[in-house]
Amino acid sequence: MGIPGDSLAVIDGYVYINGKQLKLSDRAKPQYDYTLYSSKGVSSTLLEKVNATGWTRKYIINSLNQQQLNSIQKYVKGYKQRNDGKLEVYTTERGIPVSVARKNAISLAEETGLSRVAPLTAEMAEQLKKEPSLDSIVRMVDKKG
Amino acid sequence: MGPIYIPEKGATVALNLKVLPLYKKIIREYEGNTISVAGNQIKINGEVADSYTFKQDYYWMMGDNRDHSEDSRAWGYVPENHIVGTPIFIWLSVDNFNDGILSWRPRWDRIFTTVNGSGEPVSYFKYFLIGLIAYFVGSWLWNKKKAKG
Repeated sequence: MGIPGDSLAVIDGYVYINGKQLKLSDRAKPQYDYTLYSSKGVSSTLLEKVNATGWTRKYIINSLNQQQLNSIQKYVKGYKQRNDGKLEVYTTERGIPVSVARKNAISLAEETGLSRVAPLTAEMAEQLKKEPSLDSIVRMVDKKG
Repeated sequence: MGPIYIPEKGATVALNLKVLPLYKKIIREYEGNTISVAGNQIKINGEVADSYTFKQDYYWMMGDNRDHSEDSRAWGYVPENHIVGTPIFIWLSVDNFNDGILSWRPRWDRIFTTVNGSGEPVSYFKYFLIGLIAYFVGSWLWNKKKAKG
């Protein structure tokens, strides 16, 4: 990146050294957070297809007894009780294995959402832009400060 | 963010309350001075200071997973004497690293590749395996010959 004596700035997520945008080695594959939009719901299959990691799956589960809860606990990163009594369960991109759900008779449905956030390389984002089921893909840039 | 200055050994910067947060960890932790601030006045080791000269080089290090990296944006400049080495060679690279060894999926296109260079990385893993087999076959033949003699 920068070396001692240089000036460094980060503008819209890109690094500038002495006022000039830094060109990374062609082997570098920096990842940025993108929001994916689709009126049909952004399916996890798309993210799996480009081998993206670090995104979240959301499951809707009607009810769980203690034994069922124990069986999926190690996959669960967080959960929320919904107003309608159903359980919203969040996992990593690895999800809850079908075999585990089946063995413990848990009925779960994965909810895709109209927009989802995932860290992607430029190459992955390009691949996803070609997907007809997606409406748009936007790189997320925090406001300055 | 920035622009900010990356401190160089021997370089002197002006000190004021606006830039102090950027350099105070260097002055205090990495270069072993005391800092006290009274009003607009900055004192280093008890003496009024309006500038500071760095005793070593510093680096700004950023992770390539830009929105999920804990790097210099969290902990600031890295002093030269904290650097252990530079990566040159990838001997192992797996998916699902944190999910236990049974979940590991080797990334064969990365294993035994070099970090530097341009273009698609080249894996030297098959040459390594060929060399390893050659060594075992060679030593087996050698031992057989020795046993005969």
